Amino acid sequence: MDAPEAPLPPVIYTMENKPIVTCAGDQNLFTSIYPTLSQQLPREPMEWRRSYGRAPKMIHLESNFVQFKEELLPKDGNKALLTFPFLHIYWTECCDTEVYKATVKDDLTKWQNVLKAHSSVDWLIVVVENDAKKKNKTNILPRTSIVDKIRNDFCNKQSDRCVVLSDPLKDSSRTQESWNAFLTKLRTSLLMSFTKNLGKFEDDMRTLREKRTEPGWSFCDYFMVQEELAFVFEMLQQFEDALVQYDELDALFSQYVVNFGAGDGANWLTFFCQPVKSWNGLILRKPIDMEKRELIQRQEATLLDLRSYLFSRQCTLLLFLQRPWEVAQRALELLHGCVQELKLLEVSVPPGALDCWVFLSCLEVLQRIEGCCDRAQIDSNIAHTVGLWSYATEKLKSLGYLCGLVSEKGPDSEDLNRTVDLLAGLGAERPETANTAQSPYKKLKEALSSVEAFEKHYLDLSHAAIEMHTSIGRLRSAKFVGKDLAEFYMRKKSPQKAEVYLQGALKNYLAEGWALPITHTRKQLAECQKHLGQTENYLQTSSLLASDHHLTEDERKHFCREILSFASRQTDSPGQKIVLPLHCFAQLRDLHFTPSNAVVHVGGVLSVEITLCSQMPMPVQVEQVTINVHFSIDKNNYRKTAEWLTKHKTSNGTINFPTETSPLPAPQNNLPALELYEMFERSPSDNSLNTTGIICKNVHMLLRRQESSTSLETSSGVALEDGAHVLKCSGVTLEPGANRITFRTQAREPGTYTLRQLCASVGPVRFVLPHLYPPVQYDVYSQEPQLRVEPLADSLLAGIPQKVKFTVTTGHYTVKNGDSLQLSNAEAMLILCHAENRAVIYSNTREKASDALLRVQSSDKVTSIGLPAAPAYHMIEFELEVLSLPSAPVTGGESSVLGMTESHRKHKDTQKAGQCMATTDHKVSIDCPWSIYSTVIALTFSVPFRTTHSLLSAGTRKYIQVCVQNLSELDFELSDGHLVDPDSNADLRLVPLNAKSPQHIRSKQSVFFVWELKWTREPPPSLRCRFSVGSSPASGGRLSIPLKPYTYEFQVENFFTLYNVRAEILPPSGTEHCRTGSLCSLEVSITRLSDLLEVDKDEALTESDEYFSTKLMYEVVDNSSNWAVCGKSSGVISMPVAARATHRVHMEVMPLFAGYLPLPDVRLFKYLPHHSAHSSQLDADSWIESDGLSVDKHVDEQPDGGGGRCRGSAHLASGGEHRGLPMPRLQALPPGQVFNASVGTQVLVIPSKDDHVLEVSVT
Amino acid sequence: MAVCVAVIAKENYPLYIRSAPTENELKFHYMVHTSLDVVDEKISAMGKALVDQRELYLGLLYPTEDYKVYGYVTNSKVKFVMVVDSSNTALRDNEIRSMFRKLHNSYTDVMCNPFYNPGDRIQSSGSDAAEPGFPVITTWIPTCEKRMGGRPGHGPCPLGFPRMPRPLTAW
Repeated sequence: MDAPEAPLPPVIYTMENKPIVTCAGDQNLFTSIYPTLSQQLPREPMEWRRSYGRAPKMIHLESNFVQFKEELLPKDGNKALLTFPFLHIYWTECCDTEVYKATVKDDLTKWQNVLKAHSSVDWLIVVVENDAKKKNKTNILPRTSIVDKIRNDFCNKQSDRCVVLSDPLKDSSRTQESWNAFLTKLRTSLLMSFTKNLGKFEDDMRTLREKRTEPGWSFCDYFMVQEELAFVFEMLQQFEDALVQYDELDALFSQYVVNFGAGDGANWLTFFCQPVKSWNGLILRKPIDMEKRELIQRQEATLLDLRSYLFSRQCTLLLFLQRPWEVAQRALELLHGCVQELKLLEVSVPPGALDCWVFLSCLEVLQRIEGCCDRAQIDSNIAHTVGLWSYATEKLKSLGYLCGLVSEKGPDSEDLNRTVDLLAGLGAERPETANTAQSPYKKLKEALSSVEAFEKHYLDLSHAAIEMHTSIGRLRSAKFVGKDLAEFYMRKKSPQKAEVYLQGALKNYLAEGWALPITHTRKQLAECQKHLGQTENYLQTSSLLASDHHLTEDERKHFCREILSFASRQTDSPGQKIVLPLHCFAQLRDLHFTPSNAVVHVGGVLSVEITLCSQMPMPVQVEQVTINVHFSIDKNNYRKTAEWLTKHKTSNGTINFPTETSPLPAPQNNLPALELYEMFERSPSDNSLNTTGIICKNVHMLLRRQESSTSLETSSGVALEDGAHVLKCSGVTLEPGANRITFRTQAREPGTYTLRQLCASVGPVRFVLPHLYPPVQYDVYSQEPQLRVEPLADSLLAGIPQKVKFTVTTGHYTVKNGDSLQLSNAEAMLILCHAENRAVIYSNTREKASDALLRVQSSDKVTSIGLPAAPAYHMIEFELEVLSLPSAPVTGGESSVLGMTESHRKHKDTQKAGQCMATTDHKVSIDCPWSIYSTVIALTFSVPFRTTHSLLSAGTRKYIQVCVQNLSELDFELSDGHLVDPDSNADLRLVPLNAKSPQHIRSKQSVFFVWELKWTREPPPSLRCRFSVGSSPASGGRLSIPLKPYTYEFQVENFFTLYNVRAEILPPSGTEHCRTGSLCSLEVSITRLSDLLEVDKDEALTESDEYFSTKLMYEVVDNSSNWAVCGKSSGVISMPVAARATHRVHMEVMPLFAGYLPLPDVRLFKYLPHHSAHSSQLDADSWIESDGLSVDKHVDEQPDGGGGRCRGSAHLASGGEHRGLPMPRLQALPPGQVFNASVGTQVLVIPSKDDHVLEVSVT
Repeated sequence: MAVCVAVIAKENYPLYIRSAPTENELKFHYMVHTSLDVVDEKISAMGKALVDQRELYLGLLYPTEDYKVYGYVTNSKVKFVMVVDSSNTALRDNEIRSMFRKLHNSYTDVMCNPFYNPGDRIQSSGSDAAEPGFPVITTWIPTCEKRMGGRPGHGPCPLGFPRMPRPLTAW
């Protein structure tokens, strides 16, 4: 430190600056205290409260103590702060009043006056007390009095301006205390002085700044003033505040430049616009670049000088603040900013000068940062410095280009002149770096000295930049620098070195789908590959470029011609083929098969039409376009049948191929996650653990080669397939855009053909599409001829003409003229021949080929259908009318009865199942010309009618009713209904009672016919009848042939009435009407109407004395529970078999309800005696009691009453179910034999007069 | 006024890129592509810290001598990159932010268009505005067509540069 006695040294602007404190008074005393003081003062921090709301700071104070001199005090207007004495201290150890009065007081007064004259108010008086001194001088006044005096004399109301320091050199607690108090006072005073003086300075500074719009204001002057403040802050170790001052200056200057650019020029700024003459870069190795500072002070600095100086100061402060990375960042901003500002201010700069300046500055900054950081720090902060590196690289590159150092030939004289000029602007190397081997200055000078040196430096820098970019994951930037490098290599004619960089960059652009960079890089790559003689790669790149829409038409044509000229050059020598991917040459858009379902029969012609979209800018003559086809014998034969053909029709037979994806990258490769499993292997003998490990189960996924990495640009390994089956098309000219190419092939072997590769040949160049996706195939089939016969409608109706469709699928058989189908006639089915039967011939794609007249010849047994001639794989379709004849009449007695019963039952069943029609099947055997075997075809016809009959009686008169029910959907017309007795019994007559024919019978409706049966002699027990009616479709129009009538045969039996049953209910005697609850009498009279007949001859007949009698059982049943039968309701009577024999039965019945009540039913049964031959017999009473209900039920089943239905056998069957003792049997009389004369009769029953209600429940 | 605007898909391919002086298109493409390095860096550095704050603006990606490149990333990791002329000192952070917000709104509109397939390149309405001081984006009418034709400087560009109905001086 400066000794206090030493003369004031000149101000040195270094870090060593400390605030100045002057010392007056006893110099010896101060000298003795100084060491302790300078040591103690900075020991403890003091809080500095700031004005303008700035945050308070803890500050360690240091001071530069200098001897007080009047010259030190600043004169008015002197703004220097560094030399400003912030505090004045007067030291005295006077303890003698006399001495005080004699000398000290005067001295003090003088000192005070000087201070006052300079209006300095920051002063302090220190009185040092010394015990030793006190003891020596015994007559002294108490010490306080001196201090009091001083305070009294000088510290007017500011007694704290006088401080006592006791025994400062001793080591006692009192000394310590007094030191602490003094130091606190000293620090406080200093800070107060700072606050006050700096505040005042700042105010002045602001005032100065506000005057900046006035003419004559100088930025440089102001710069010096504010920098003074920065210096003070720096002196106080407040680097942050110091930096703020520079930043403010920086911003102010920048704003002026901006305003200047906007036309608001400041006069002083024009000075900075002087041409740049020196570009020696930043100087950061000195804390303060005095040279530049003086230039600024003298207002001679250029813009670059000012910026350089400002940045060097900022850099210094940032480094003090341990923020080297901010230096790097600001440096980049500064360099960019300066370049912009020079442009904006239109400063004339020699070409390359700025590049030199930037290059030097970049390296200077980097070296400065490296100088204050260790390797690890630098490595972990590459992100901050890499910008400077690449900037330097860029600038060196442009310098190289400027000075002709990159060309193959080396620099020419003009280049050399330029280089000399540039080097001149650098000036001499500065002394700080003169000894450094790698100084930026030396580097630049060397790099510009020769081509080789430039290359070395440029490569060094480039590689360093690439490496740094790569290391922090800035791959794109690395590629970009790499591309510059590639350009450099290309200029240097070393394409082999350039290639790798271009490929790397291109891969990157392709992966991310950046079209323009791809095109640009590809163009460079093409040039590179051309120089390298990589024919295949060059051709591929050329084809890509020729199809690239980002290039101009001319460029594309150029690359296209490159391919074509290569192709034409190579045609003479049969060299190897060059296989290139097709997609860059042309794109397969769609493919169309004819026939459209892509199925063709053996020998058929298939054409494949493809749309190839040429990407080339000009027409290209292609020698051959081929499609490789893979053949496989397909097991799935169904696909090749004609049926499949007709059913499966592709929409239009066109297959569209997805357009090649434009350079949209695939989504980022998502590698599958590792699948790890533990693995334990134990010894088989004792199960101890042998080995253990971890198994990755999806190694095959993880270690798979990334296809995209190679297949993007390099020859993509397209393998040319050579197959036996090839579709070819020669001599095609592909115009730009869509081209249609048609391949024709004749199908040979049946099987499936898959289209594999598409290949276009131009000379030795093969453009190959290795896989067609989606897969495309066509099928070739062979088929046997086939005949199908099917009805046109849902079902065929019997009895009327119906249409049947014949389909002949010719398959591989060719139908010749004269080929015919031989139909063996079925008996009951006619094939109706029309004159104009036409056959239509279709191709197998259902396209009508022709039609021809059908020749049908019928003989008794065989119908021959002459087929029209038809080629193979066609279809012949025609329709024939067939007529199923109604089934032939059934003959025979008993069998017919049974048959009718069965058919009757069948009808009943079908009726329940929903009115189904009876069906008949007809089988036709057909001989086809292509086969020695006959084809048998069954046709099912439905009978549209159902017929039922019933016998109606009126006393002894008999009627036959026939009901015809139409089950079909068609309406028919019925005519000529006839009922005849086929036996032609002369005694019988059938008298029709029908309406006039014809009659309409609509769908699902019925028509009834009735005949009266009359006879002259005793009628036979049974009568066979045949009903026939002509039927024709109501809307059928004129029919070609007369239709056979519909017939129905049946038999009526026992139709002759034997018994007349008459029942009568009489009111009780004496009353007029029956009453409820009162018994009435029921009179039943059974009258025999005929003498012995054939039908009576059965077991019940007994003969005695020529008289015949039979046993009958009667039974009175009231189903409607109207009557209560009292007493026996049934009984067995013996009936004489003679006309007019009458049997009367009297019974008591009681009406249960009032009103007109129908009479109870009276039933008659034949009572057959038990017979050993019969396994089951019934006792009358027990039968009635036990099976009364079953009888009732049986009666219920036939609600429509009697008639000719043969129920006997049915009843027998049901009776047979009974098991048990031999009993007499009951046999119901056939309904035609019993006539109930009183059926439908009603009796009036009036309610009884009694109030009470009789409740009788009869079940 | 921006000299280049780019919308970049999550997978880093350009959805929309448009620059004002078309003769320098390639340079801007390279610049925007390279800037993705810094975008990636900023996104990963931002990490979780800024997710909550929903700060989408990435700030200055990197300056070059002549241009400043700014970045912005949507929540779905679609990046917007804007290149601004360095000499244009009128553009401060706030202006850049508001430009990005407008861009984001336009982009959102595009995404809302039911005829737009996310991931397809975006085309903007209007023809090539050769006039200097071009406006950037007002409305975008994306079409589903892939970029097929059109070469720099030849005929109307399929990315058809938007033409503003009225000049915007703020940009």
